Amino acid sequence: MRNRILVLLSVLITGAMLLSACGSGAVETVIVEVDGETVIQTVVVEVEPEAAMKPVTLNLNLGTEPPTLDPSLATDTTSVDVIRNTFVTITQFDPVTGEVLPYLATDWAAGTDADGNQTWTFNLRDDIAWVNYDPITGETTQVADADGNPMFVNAHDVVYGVKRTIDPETGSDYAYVTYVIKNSAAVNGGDEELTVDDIGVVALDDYTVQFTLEYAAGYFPSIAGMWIVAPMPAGAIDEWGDKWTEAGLIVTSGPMVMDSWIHGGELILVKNPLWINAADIQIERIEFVMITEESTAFALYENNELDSTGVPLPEMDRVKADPVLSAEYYSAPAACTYYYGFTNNKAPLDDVRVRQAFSQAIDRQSLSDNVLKGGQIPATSFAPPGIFGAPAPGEVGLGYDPDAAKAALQGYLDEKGMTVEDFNAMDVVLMHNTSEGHARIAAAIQQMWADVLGVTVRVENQEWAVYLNTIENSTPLEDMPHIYRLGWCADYADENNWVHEVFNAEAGANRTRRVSGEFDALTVKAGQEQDAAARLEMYREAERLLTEVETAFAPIYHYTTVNVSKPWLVRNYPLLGGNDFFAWTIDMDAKLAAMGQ
Amino acid sequence: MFRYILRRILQFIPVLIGISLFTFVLMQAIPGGPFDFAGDRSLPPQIRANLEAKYHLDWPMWKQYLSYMIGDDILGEEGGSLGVIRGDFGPSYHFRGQTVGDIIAVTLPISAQLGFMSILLAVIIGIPTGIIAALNQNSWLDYTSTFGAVLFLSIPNLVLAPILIWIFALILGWFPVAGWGAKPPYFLGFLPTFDQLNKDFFAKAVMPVFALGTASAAGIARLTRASLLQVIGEDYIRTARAKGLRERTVIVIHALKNSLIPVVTILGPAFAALLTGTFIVEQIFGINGMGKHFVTSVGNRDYQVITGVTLIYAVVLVIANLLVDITYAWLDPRIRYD
Repeated sequence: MRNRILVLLSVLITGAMLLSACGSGAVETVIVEVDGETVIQTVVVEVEPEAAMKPVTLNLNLGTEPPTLDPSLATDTTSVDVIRNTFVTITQFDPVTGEVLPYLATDWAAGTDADGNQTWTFNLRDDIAWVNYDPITGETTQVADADGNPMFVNAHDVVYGVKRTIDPETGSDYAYVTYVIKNSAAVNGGDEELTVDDIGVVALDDYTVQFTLEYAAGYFPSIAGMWIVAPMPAGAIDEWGDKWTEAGLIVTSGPMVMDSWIHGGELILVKNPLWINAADIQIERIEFVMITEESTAFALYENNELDSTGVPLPEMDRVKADPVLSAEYYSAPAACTYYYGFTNNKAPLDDVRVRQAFSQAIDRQSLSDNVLKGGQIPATSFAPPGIFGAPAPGEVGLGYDPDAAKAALQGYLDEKGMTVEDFNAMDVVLMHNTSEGHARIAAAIQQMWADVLGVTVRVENQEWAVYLNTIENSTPLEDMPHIYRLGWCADYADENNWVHEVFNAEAGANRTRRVSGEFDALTVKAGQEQDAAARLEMYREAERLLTEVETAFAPIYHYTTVNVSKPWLVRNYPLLGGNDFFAWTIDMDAKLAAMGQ
Repeated sequence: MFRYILRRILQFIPVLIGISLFTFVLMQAIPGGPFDFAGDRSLPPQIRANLEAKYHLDWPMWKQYLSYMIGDDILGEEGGSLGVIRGDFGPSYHFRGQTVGDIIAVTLPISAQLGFMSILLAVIIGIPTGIIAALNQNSWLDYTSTFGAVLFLSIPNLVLAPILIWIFALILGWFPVAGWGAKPPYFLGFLPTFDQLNKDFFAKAVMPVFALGTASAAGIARLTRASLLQVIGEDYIRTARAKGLRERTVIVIHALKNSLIPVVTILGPAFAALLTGTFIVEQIFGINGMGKHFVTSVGNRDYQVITGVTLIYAVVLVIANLLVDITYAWLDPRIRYD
């Protein structure tokens, strides 16, 4: 018996030694030809010490599997982040100011066609290559057309991409953002009379593309910066169908190319050596993991396995107190606004004084400092800073003013001959979608309303998909909560995307059930206005009407993303349009030193 | 025995059809559809209609179900579905461009590897601990193992896993924080290739396997102890002792085998649950397993993924239960299937 145990032990130990030996060298099965015969051999390949030749690598957490890397289909920030680094777009946004800059297009101009429709003509550069990366050989090659000519991104690729997004067969979630383009809404809506060729986009020559619009839109160059109208590779899409975005098959036009994509696990991008500004790009490799649990990602960061990551709320106090982590901490504004919508035709919120009282009783600064803790900017108007036409926070709208709030509510109660108890009997409901974070905010604001106004509000929550149905405009009024939570993030850097698309009673979802009026006419006019200064003034007025006069909703705060970044990483925090990881830089020696290599 | 197994396998068919039908109807009954929203916002009705038409969600429910089960060509409709009967679980609505088959092919092997190691650990720790506790009833060994078992049973993985990361990865630095060692492509589509089975693979496996395995081990230990104590009190054990058998023979040959019946009974479902993935442990250790799809697909209203992973779970469960029943016959000679 004892002998047998000894034998077993020695087998186990030998096995363990063999396994650990694999750490330094890899066992590979290779097929070789020996004396004219094909034989299979197992060889141990010595792996070179990595430190000496380790490429400049950026390690990041995507947080989740990108639902798609197809520019026509992407809607979420994860997908857009990857697409931004692999595909060129017509225009791009300055990461700091949000200003529209040349990218594929060198310059653009508005005009008018024979029918009086507004046109936008973009002149494109002719030197951006369509490339394919072979993950096995590690080579990036320029794609050739049927005749063997190397292919460059051109106006026809833009036209193809736009039509593909709008084609109802594609099933693009974001096609509606292109409805400003002539016939886009009709074609996307399945109009029998029209085909994709009737859409208002045409290649005037190989490197000039012209859009014809349904109605004048001064903000169109911003739309042109979106991924859904990016040039797309018709050849690869036709050849591979739904699978064209897989590693090895994908044909891209951006600064990085895809090395591998293990769905749900990891995604690796490497530098595109054929990129126009390849010499300026320092990052050679980006390794993304997809870890949903924020605290795990944070632990990886502390272990030097990630270069930058978000800060989970429970860690916030420790990060701010820790001398090292607090120096690595940065709270960057994000182009999103968190708000409570009021159901404008449901008593008692059908009275503007009640809505004003509820809005003015929210101490947004206290909420940011004590509940959110991420340096969020208190919001009094809708669009956040960085969006064209957005007023500065606090400039327009109703801030925290407990006395005015009390007076407004009292005015309402006196007129109706009610007491606060009668008011509470009306059972005002605040609803949010199920989430710990929203629940915490709702509890804080519920308490503020109780403290300032003495009113009791009931908080309810529903799972996200159910919730979105509940707060539809078509829901019977008795099922609609009095107050609902939502957030809005920018698609493009213009107020049209904010006050008009969200709150215009004619154009948007109109969840607040506002009655169309002065505001609605103004946002339509502002969208068509050409003069930038005039547009600014109109949007300022629109924001004022919406928040001060109507108080259709209560803006609460503008989002921030709270990150920690290692000292060897130089990064930026673009407001919108996705992160330009390729433009970041890393001090690789410092990184390797910290990792003990 | 062979006929019994065949009969059981044939019985799986109506069970699986029932489960798929039930899941299919139930998920469509929840308010909200897969294309009502994109991330943080709701989609306009026009876009919703395009997407629903693309994925045939505008068909009546019976037709959608038949399309899902037997395929569009048999149904005589336009569409690319080959049906579950031909191994096509349909496209994912959320992960555009991936099919449910793709998702399962990547995530199930990872969950299965992790689950298999965990159940192995659970058995290796659980059964001996239970035996030692039972044979030394009311001694300090018994009390210690009972205490340990109750402790591990009552610490949820939500708590245990981050504590493990904090102590063993961040403070001691013995193991990596997260990430699974083996990556596809797998040997035979399921097993890590030989060069993947290195130190790194096992270093990354230690904490998740420990977190998953200990809770099951604790349950197995408690059950083994109770069952063995009961068996030891039986008449036939007294007979065995009376005819002068050595105590070890009495325990190992006569008592232990019989006392494992309840343990094997719970091993079946535990095996199925661990093999198809566990949400919390995979989430915390950043493991790309199938567990997350059971949860997130419901939130995404990703109908095909919901039904797909449910069916996989059902298949593993019925097979595990069949194995349990076969094991009964081996453990207890009185049980025969004919």
